[in-house]
Amino acid sequence: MAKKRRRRKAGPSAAPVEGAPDPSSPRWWPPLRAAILSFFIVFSVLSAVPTPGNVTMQKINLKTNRAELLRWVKILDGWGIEVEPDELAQWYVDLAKDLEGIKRTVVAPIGPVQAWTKTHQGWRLFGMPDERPFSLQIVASFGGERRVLYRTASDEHDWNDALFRFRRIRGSFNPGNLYAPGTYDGFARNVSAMVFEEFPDADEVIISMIQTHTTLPGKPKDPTAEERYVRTFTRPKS
Amino acid sequence: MKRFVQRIVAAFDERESPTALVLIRVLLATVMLSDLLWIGYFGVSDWLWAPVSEGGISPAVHQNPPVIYQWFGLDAGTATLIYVVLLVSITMFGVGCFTRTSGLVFVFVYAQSAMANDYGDRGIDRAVRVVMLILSFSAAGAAYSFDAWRKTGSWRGDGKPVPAWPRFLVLGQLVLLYCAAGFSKGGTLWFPWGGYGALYVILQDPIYAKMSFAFLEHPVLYFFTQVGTGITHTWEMGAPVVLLAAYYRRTAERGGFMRRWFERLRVRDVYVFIGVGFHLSLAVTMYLGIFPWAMLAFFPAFFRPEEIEGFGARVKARLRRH
Repeated sequence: MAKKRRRRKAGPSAAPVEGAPDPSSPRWWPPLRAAILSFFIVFSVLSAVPTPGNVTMQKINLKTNRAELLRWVKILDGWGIEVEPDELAQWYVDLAKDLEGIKRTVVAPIGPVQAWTKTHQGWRLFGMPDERPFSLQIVASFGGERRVLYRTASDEHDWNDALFRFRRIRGSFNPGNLYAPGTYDGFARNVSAMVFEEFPDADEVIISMIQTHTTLPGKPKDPTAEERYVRTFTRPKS
Repeated sequence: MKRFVQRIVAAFDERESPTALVLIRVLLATVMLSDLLWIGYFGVSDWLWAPVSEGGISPAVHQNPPVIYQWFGLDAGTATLIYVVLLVSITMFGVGCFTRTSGLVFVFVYAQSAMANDYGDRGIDRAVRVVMLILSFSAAGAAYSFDAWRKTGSWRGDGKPVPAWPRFLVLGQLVLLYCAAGFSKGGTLWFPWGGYGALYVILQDPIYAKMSFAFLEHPVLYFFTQVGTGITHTWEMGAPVVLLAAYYRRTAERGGFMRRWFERLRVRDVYVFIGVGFHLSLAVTMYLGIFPWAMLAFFPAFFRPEEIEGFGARVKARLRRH
């Protein structure tokens, strides 16, 4: 019984002393610890300050970004600020470049720690919703007859859907508008090897990304679908 | 200035029960373990971390090999080693076995894996590393752990209060993350003048959406997505109110109109409630992997340990009654 009572007393719920200082630490430690923590807090906050990132005219001229630019021109016009799209774009590119330069300099003291632990404080989560999203498509050719094995979100063509939905694999093929990820070719090669292994009659595999256009309700629909980043593999001779 | 510095030193010297830290440790380890088990289930550790010549997909492994490949060799064996070390270290961290060491090992190897394949490493992985790093310097293993049993003879530890600053830092990191994410949303679709169309557009992305959300173009349903967009954006940018609420609570004796209203409106609880709803909605509607679950695993940092213990005691009492 006594043992039971002692056990109940032990544990995190026993007499927490909120706000009380640590009586066992040496006098120099609390100020030093506060200085170290303050250093990391200040520089973490500074490195989390949102900046536009690496903006170039090439990126701005992509369809999604161009549409966004034109929306801003219209909004500014409504506020009484007249500006040409290219003029605004150039101003934004210059601003982004300046801000990135300033940020790099300011957060330099914490840079090595963030680089070694990969703990950079950039939190651009769906910063600009993608109005031109992609779907993965895997097509195999069987003696000239083509068959779609996989297409994202298709109930009919769902070969290995769970694998392609897995977040760590998704990142290796889901492209940006300017280029495919550096892992795209390796991903496509491995997927083609899987197809050749599972379908002995397949003689060719075509992996691509299908880009569609999302329009807001009330706006004219755009049914066009563009096939991009096409990679073709023929069965290796054994 | 001197008083301000003294206050900061005193705040970082505070102690509290380790309950919140323990809860974050266990929840986070569970989420990360499940993520790693999926890698094992699909058998893709080689895809992610082996050199291209040995079945890998990331050119970075041989173009700019992280230090772990320099130590153990530029081959598929190192990819397997990364996987096994991550699996073992996160399990040890979860059960609180050499908690600090296993946490630091996990962060180091996890960072190496990110260097090897940056495309398989998302924002949430960075957030996990930040929080794991903080927990590795904390007393998250002081209770309900193998370490507690080893040191005190009880799985529940000795009940001594531990430094509170790690919880403050996790809370600060949450606020920083949400606030920065909110202010990073520069696309017009996140704003009233862009029609608050962001959520609708995101849900039409076939790679993320769990089902077809084409039906949301119905005017009534579209209106709800617009409301959702507005709430999400405001909720993210408004994260600092949680810090203000914490400050008001700590200085409750000063009184005043704002303190009274923050107390009456239960600002922090409302913020957390919306956050839980937000993350659960994401989990239900989108393929975002561990993101919603890992973020929710950080949520105990919003609460003081005695609040969590009180909640646990109430649940236990209710269960006993039924």
